[in-house]
Amino acid sequence: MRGNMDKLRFQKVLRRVILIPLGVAVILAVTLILEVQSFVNRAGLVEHTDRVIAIAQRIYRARIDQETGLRAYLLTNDERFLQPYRQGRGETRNLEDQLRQLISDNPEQQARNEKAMQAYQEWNSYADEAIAMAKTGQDVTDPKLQLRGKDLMDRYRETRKEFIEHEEELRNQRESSSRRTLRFVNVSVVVLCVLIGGIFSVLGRKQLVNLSGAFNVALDTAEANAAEARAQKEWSHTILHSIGDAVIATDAEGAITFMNPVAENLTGWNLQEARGTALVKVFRIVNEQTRETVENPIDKVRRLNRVVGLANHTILISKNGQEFAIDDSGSPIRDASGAMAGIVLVFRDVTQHRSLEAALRSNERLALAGRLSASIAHEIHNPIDTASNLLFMASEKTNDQPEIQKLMLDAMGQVLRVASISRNMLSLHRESSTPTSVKLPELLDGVVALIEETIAKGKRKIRVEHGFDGNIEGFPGELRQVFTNVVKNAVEATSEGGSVRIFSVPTQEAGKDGVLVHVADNGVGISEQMKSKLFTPFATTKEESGSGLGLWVSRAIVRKHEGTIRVSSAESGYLGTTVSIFLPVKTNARISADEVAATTEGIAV
Amino acid sequence: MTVSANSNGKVILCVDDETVGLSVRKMLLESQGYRVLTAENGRDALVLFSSEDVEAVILDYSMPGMNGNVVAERMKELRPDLPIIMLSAYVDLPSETLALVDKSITKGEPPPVLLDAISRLLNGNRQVQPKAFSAK
Repeated sequence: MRGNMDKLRFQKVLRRVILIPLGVAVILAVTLILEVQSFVNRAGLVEHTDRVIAIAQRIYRARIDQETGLRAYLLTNDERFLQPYRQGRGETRNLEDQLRQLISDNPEQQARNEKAMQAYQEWNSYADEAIAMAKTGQDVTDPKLQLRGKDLMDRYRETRKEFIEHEEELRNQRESSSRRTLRFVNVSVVVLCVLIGGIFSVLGRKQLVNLSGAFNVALDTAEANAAEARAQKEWSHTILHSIGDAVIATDAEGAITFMNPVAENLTGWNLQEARGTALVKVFRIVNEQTRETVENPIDKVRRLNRVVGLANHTILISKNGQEFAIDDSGSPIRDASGAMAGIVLVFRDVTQHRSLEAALRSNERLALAGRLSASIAHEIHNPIDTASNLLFMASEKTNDQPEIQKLMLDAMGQVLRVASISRNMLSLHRESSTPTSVKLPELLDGVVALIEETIAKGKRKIRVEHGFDGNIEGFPGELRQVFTNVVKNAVEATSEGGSVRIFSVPTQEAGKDGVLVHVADNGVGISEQMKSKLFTPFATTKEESGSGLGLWVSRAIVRKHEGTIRVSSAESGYLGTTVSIFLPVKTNARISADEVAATTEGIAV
Repeated sequence: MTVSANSNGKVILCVDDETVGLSVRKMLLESQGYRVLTAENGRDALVLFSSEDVEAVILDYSMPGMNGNVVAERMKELRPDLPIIMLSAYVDLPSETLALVDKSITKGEPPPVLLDAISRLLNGNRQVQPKAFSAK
């Protein structure tokens, strides 16, 4: 709005700057033309007067010649002297006509001319009379006659001179008038020039001030706009750089035009090398489970022409092969006409979030299982207690029949084994105190010693290497349970003469300092089918002897310690199985509120 | 079946809402020479406790109406020296309960464990000789 007004004003000023001098110049030219015209007119009048004077003087001289001829004739009576007289008469007739015409605009001079001509006519009559007398032989030398002729000629001379003098006077007047006109033209040209110059300078200055005002306003506006645009750009830049999500923008062809630092980190590309590169090359995404390439977001956005959330369980593979679980969305960038000018991708690293989710799900399962096992255990413990009491009493009554008594005691043992499993499950939810410092090498040595005595019995070799020789925080009883379980499994997986190797190494996982304990056996290994079920309750390969709760419980305990447990196995059976347990040096392990709730709920049944 | 002289017909109050379990336990204890009183809930137990000369109590923890902890509390208020064994299906009893009673045993332990505990609490020296059995 304001810019438009400035533009109008600018045009107005420009018009003025051009039109005003043009107008003034035209006026000046017209003035000059008129003045010159007037000067030329006046000069023409002077010329006219000059001609009148010239003709009058020729007539006058002709008359003088006539008189001179006449006098000579009268004195000599020689006809030849009459020649000028006669010539003068013929000659002047024309001139007098011309003269009469030239002065037709001036009555005063006409009157004078008439007077002069009258005087000449009178002299002419005298001349004719005198010539006639001479021709008839009369005496023409009479002074009286001569005198009369002289008088008449004098009279003519007088009148003609008067005419000429008047004409000369007129000429002088006209000449001076013409000269004045010329002076006026000169002066007026100078004055006009000065005047125009003055007007120009005043107007010009005013217009220039206006113009420069308008220009300054325009300049200020432009500068303000530029500053605003700059600020806007900087603002966007800062926002995009500060934002916690990764942002990638592309053009319509899918070539990258922008990436923010988070996007650079996740993709492993920096903006400089990525700019102009196809998005699919930089933003490599696959499905978490199938590892199949996920549809290119450019195509998807173009196909659907709206904001799209990308497929779930998407994994971004960075330039150096690192993988991130991401949660992302793509939106079309539209130009003013609404056509798609590119897309902008916004995504974030949800790796941690995903693992938390998984942990939460696992905890929920655990809590549910805990509640179930608590109530099942309650229902089992009572009848088992009764049954074992009955069997015990029965066995007491068969002291005299040792064989029957043994059968009964065996039966009681089997019944009590059920109770033992049940207690195992329940003990998962035993309330614990805060973690204490655990000497890991001692703990491992203790576990190994116990197992060597009870299960290995010298028939399997167990080797322990303490690459980590320090303390970790945790619950010693629970950790002992974990390692007992894992080492026991390893020993049981080997045949006689097999060996189990236990070695610990200090390490870091997920940014936490800790220890990785590997328990490797050269036993039968685990089938792929079994592997997926390892950590679920009641999964067992040991048919009768195992409860199938070992690894499930172990994992729960390790997780409680904020650690991880992994199993790798070569199916062929030659390399056996390796269980790797990571435990952080420091832990916030404590019984969770959920677990307490589950336990209390169980008790209240 | 040998009735230990040490049991001496001592009176034991058994409290449990599980009727079958309660009667079998009564039989077990009687087979060891004890006199056994039974109650199926806390209130009945407290009535019996005030009227009879009870020398030891075997209490279930989880019972409708009044749990074992409350019952034990009332009894200990009246007779702080009375031996009480908490016999529960749960392995994770509250610590206040564990502090309150003289012994806690989980149901499903071998019967000699209970008998041994009672015997010790009543006279400090009787031992039930467990027969060989295998509880793998």
